[in-house]
Amino acid sequence: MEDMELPMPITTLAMSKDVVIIGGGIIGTACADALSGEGMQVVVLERLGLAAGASSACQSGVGFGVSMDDYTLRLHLAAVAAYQNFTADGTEVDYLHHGAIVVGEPEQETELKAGLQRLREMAVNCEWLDQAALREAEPALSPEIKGAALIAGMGQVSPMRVVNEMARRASERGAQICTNTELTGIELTDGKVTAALTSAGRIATETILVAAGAWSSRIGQLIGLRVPVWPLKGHVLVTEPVPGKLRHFVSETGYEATVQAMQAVEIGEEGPKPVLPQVAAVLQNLPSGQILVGSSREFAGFDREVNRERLGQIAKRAGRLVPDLRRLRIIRTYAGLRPWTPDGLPLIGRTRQTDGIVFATGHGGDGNTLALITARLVAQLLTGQPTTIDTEPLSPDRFIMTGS
Amino acid sequence: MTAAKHLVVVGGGPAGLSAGTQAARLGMAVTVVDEYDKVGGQYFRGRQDSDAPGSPRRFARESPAVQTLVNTVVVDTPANGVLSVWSEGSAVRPLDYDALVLATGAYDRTVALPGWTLPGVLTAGAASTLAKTHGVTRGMRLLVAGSGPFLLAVADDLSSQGCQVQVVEATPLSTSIGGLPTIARSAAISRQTLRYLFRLGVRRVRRQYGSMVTAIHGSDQVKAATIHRVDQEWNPIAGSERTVEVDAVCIGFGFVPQLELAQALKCAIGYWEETSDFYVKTDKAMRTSQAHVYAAGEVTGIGGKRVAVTEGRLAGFTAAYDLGLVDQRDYGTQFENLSRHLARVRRLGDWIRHAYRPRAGLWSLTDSDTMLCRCEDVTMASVAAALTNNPATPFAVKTATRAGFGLCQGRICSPYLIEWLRSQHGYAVPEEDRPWRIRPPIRPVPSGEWLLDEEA
Repeated sequence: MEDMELPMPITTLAMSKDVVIIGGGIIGTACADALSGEGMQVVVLERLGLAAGASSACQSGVGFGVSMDDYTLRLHLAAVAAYQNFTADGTEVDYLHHGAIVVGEPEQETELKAGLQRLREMAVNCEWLDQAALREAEPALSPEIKGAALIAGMGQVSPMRVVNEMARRASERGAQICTNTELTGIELTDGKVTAALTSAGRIATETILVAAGAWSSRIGQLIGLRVPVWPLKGHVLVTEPVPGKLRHFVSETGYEATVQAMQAVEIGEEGPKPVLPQVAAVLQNLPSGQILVGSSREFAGFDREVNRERLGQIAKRAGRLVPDLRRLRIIRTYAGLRPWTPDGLPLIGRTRQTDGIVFATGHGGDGNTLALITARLVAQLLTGQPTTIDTEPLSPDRFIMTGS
Repeated sequence: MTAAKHLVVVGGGPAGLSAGTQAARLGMAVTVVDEYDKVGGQYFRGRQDSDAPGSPRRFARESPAVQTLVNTVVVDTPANGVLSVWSEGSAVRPLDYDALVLATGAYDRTVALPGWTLPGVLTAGAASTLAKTHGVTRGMRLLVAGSGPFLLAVADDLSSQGCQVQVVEATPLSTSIGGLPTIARSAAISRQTLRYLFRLGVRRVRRQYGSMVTAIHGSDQVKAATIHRVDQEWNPIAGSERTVEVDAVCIGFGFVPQLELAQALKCAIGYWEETSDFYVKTDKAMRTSQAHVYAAGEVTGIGGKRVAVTEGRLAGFTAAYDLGLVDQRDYGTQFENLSRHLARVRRLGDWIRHAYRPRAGLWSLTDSDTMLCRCEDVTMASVAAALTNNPATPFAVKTATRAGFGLCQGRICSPYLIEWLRSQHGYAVPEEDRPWRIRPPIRPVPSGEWLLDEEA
């Protein structure tokens, strides 16, 4: 949360580290866990507190889309599998994989069914529910909905719990977690990273991992790299507790359409050109009983004030799916900033543009889902192991970041 | 002729009613908004026949033109000069204002100690309301514990209903005696105090000073409580404990101002470290840091009813003056008079707040099983675990544990959490803001009534 915390370094920094991770959100802490698991000495530098950015101002979905391209879908399926492994030993991060109900407009039914066929070919369990079956599976949905897709494997997690759990595990393996500590500069010697300069002192290192989410471009600026990540604002409403009201992660196909609409945006001198905000219904009933109601996408710089018009648009979309929502009391609303990239894929791996800079950022609205697979890929790339999935499409070098 | 300028007063307690009366006299159109079904606030609840300054009865007589919206909450501050207000069963609607007086009063200060979430543990304010509405039964054994003169009022209310009451006051008797010269300046307060003491004596209400409830016992209901003698800093003295069997425990360690609306309006918030109080900052004429927004009564720092009435008058006066409804000379005279009066009545309020302030020992009574946040079932053990990798800040505890994420949005647990972090972990409270962010809505409200236009 900006301007909430007073700078107060709580730890004395070590003099040297294998990897300095910038960002204490879900990506940075997951990477700290994975890298320390490989025996590396790592430190996480977090400007505010753990999960202070998008990781505490988002929804909780873990999943994939019906109309994703093959590569993105494979990445997401690997990510979902990683969550199932992570929680298999009973690690408690409020992870549920109860499946998703995806509602489409009537005219999209054929398209949606075709998408399900493709998911089945990728070994995802899914089925089409007709009106009666849908009523049975998800009674809170509007009786006017004629049918919807039920997709297994999708689910939800508490990102704040994941962050704290990852930080705990990493620090048990010797990782240092430094909150209220800001990266102030990057020391380069002959074009190579030699140290991270921080508000708490210098740390000698050959590797800096940028996991600063929507703020990643500010890290790049320190060494003249134009990191192609911009903040994409989203709004969420939180209802009073109604445990068990929804049995699945509920969304509409319009959600993927909003994601794709934002990817069609042109990039100008100042970043993405202004476009109409996009709104689609995405709902998760948390174990605490509250329902998180989203979602919206818009470019509004780093502003995190909530916009009532957007809240109204979300409430309206979501109310079409779950009519009782109109009667549930809203207890809180918030806005967060996703790290948006021009092609909708994250930046994962080293860059030839500066020796020693590694990226794990730009996950858009998929940071929760992709956190664990990202951490694994980063660990594999830094230790020279074969990667779980081809990382060429994720390479930061698909973007030119140097020059003017 | 132009339409009268509109003053909205949020909170119909002694401060709000006094502000409303004053502004109405000066030609303003006034609307008083209150959450409860009657105006009068906590102070006049169950005392509807009182005709004291700031009372609902006097207000009704003196200000017949003032509109009161009861059972109404302010849920949002969507733009400058407009509040969103809501009463159950109707849609949220805008309420425009030219000037706004925040007179939102205070909550009971909740303190986490072992057993505080058991059924049968009440805040002193709630106990007082129960007594006035005959919600207690004759013969019930009640422990009234905490600090401050309000305990006497609660004990009086409860014992008058035939309950067996004992009072445990953490502040030593010598402090109360030391305050006699200050109390004696006010004939009314002296009379009231003597009346309480006399009646409590007649009803054989036992009072212990320099003692504190340190744990409450029971499995599904309060059965007993442990009482320790405490030192000057309220640290329990080892070996001094005794356990008493009781049916209910009323805890009153004073009050904390209700700051949500002030925070939503981005009014500067101050903090008195010595008395653990956040409050809305005002100038001497009750102006907050936001233009045309004023504050009066407990939100500016707990001071009691007489302070509230005077601050309310001054806020109403200043609001009218700032809108050009009072000429400068009249305002100057009134400002002088009211300020002098305020200085006088604040002396007692300030003395009470200071003398009975929470001491360090109050913030370390919890054990690892003690609940911090009852909405989300967060124990002090999880809070301690969260601090391993997090800075000791309210925000970090919140995100790591979900404390304050529930229905009350931290209204109950955040004052304790902030003091615990400050006293046990060296947390430095920021200037100008309360470190617990307010997001709309200010009170829970259905989306259908707040955000959706059903006609559309």
